[in-house]
Amino acid sequence: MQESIVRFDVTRNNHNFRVPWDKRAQSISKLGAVIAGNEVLTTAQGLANHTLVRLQKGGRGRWFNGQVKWVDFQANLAVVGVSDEIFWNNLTPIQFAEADELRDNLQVVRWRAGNIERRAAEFSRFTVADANFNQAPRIELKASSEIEGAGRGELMVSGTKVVGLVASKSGSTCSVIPAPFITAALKLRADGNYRGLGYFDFVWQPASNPATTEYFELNGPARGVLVIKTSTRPGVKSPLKLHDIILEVDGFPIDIQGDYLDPDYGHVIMEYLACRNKWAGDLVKLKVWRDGKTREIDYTLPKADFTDNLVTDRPEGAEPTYLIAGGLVFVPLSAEYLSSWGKDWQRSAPFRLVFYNNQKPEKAQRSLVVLSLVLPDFYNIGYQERNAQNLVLDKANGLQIDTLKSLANALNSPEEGFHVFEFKKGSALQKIILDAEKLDAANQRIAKRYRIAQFQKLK
Amino acid sequence: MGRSVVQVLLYSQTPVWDAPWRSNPVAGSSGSGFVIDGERVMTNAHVVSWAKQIVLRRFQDPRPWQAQVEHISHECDLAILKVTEPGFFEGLDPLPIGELPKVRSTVVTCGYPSGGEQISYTSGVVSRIELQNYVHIGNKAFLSVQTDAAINPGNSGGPVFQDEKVVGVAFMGIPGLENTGFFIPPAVINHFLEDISDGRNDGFPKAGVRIVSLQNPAFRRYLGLNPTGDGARIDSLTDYAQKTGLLKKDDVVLEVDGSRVGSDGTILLDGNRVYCTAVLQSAQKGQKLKMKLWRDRKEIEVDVPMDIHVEDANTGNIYDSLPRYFVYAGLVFTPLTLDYVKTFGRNWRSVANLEMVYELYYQRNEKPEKVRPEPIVLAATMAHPVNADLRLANRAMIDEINGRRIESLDDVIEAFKDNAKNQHMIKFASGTVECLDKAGSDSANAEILSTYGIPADRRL
Repeated sequence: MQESIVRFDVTRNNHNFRVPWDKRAQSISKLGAVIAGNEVLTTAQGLANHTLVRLQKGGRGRWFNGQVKWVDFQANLAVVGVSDEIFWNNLTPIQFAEADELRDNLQVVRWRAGNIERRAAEFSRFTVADANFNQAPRIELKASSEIEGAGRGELMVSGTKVVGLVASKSGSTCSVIPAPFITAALKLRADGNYRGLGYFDFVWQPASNPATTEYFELNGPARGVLVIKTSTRPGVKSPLKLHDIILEVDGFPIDIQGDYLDPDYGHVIMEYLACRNKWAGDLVKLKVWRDGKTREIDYTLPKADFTDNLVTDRPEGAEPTYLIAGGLVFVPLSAEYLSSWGKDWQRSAPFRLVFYNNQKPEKAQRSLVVLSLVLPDFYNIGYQERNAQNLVLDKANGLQIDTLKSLANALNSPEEGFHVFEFKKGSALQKIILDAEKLDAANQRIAKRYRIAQFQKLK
Repeated sequence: MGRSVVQVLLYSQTPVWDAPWRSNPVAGSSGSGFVIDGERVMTNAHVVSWAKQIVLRRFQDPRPWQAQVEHISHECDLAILKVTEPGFFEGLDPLPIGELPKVRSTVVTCGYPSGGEQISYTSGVVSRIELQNYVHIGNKAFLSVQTDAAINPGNSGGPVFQDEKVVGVAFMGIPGLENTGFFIPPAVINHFLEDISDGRNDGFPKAGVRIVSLQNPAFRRYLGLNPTGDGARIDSLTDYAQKTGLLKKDDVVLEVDGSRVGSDGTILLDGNRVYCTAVLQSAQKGQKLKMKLWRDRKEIEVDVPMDIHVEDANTGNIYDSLPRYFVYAGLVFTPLTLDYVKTFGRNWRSVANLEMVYELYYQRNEKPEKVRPEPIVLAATMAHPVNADLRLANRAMIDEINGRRIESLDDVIEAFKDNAKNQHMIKFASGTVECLDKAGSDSANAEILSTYGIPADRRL
């Protein structure tokens, strides 16, 4: 393994989405594995907004500059190249394990203090990763190990074969991206055919209550799940109907808990059928119960790309956007913004903002812009109290605002010398007025006083 | 003057909000009170809430006297007690209500605080006078006086004296603050006394507007006002105020009932700057208050009718009124109230599901047309084979039952009654669906009630 495992030292800009112009350099060390074609495979974690990627082989010695050639944050995979030929001397590509070789004699392997460290691991189960925000479902192998501080792309191996990359570790449980998933993704990438992960955009509940299946007149044995939201995407016409009962997905019978029996991974939740040898844009065959009959439905997997949500989830690695007008800092209501309240953002972020994540976009306003904070200047006196924080914009100068761009446009047409900001009904403060003529001077003064290089970044 | 101050001994019992037919154990507590004109005893509402027995003790008199609540205002935390047995008021002079004391002037509290048996006096100065949230009701702020005279448990309901007159009723402290006690000032006491003079407590009327500061020079110019002058802005209106149409968004309130309103929304009250709602609260139900407004670059005067609106009652604490409920097939339905969500524990906000919090606190302001007059939750499910397959069995807000939108407990009862299907279908606010076998539910109902000791299937 020592000829195949390399160390990474990544420097990246870490952004605070509540102070969006602020960049903090952060350094991360992780591991990767050499694959065919003089490339290194690693997890996507830590590569967002990277500024410098360095690699080291043999656990010691010289560092080489790397280039991220491919990264998919939804799949949590990345491929890095090194242009210096010397780096590739004495390195050999790993061999991936097959689906039936993932369970026995597991070991976690990494470089530690210049030596290879191998620690035993014990297979536990396969699960589908929890969705945080709108992550695509991913199959994960869970294995327990005593190894400390793992979860940075260490290799999980079985004999000479790589079972997967360790993506995270919680307690003694390692979460591993399994080899069959990696090889499938790499093959599509090599063929120039990689389309990204798909997912099911409908919401279901278990149909374990017999009275419920009787209510929907399902004949035969208890099975299937009940659709309670046909699509979480805005403006999408789903082939499913509310209260369809999904009986089969691609021929796999779905049980009343929403699980199916996977030939490789055992009983896992049906969400994984959106990824099992399937990618965004692929067709999935659903067999549903509707109006007292079974029906076959072709369901096209949407790409796991959540930029259309009301609370937008922009591609990882994009820098935060913002617009400062007279000290009023406007940002998009995004997953990253809410996440800036920490892991427990669902409870610690302002309730009203969190609740938008449960709401659907409207035609006139497909996404939202928030007044996140006010940089004090006498120009904005009267708006510096707490009630002027985290307000969601409705209109600016009479125009409906859904993006920073639309806000920037609206600021081009003040109303008789004033900028009029109207916030959503129910906000703690519903209107703010700024002097349009003095805005430029105020922007300059505020940018200087708070040392902000750019007072807007729209893309 | 201490002779007219009495000790109030209470036994009370509160309901269990998520098992509404049950009650918590009987609890004993004590407070203070004082005699006012008309052979009445004034105390705090929180001293006598949920009373099962009220006993009064006179100054250095061992005899217990039984008392009843005659009037109670949970909003302003005041209550009037009556003693029917003759002789109680003999030798007790009614205490007169004085004026709002000045900041820095000395006041004396009097009552029966914990830590001893006898009457106790403390003195201090008036620290400041402001609007404060009244914790008893929880969702309303009234004028309140802060003092550094010690106010401890048991002092509640006792008088605060200045020059032989009552200038306040001691009522609360704020946890974490030292040397700060609060008392209810004469304006609020007199409002309550005047309110009940017709034999009923109507409460404090509201104008239904949110008045915010108007200090940004650009905003003032936008409205055609002097950049540094007086007047605060109406930022939003409740649904009812909007319908009346008398007040409008962006009206600038210049005067309320003759008091000049500053750009920060305060008025000058006896030398103190307090938020202008203090004046709005001085009105009695049905009165009109004169407001001088700046609208469309002109000064106008309007008479604003002051009425009682209880639309936000479920966001405040509820007292002396047992929770409504309906039990069917072991499913316990009860209204969504602050008291109910508090059963989740102190951190209920992080336990309650988002739909509940939204319905309770945001829906009314954002989408008044969608507000449910009495939102209903499934509080618990009393286990029985007929309901054992429900996965979502408690702490969930109801959207529909058998296709009927649930806006009150009566809707729940009606929805289960009018159902032609063989199953009842309950749709929760989250979208989750659960069904019950109708025939099985109907026949299990009585058994479930008796198994779990539920005396009646409903309290309406």
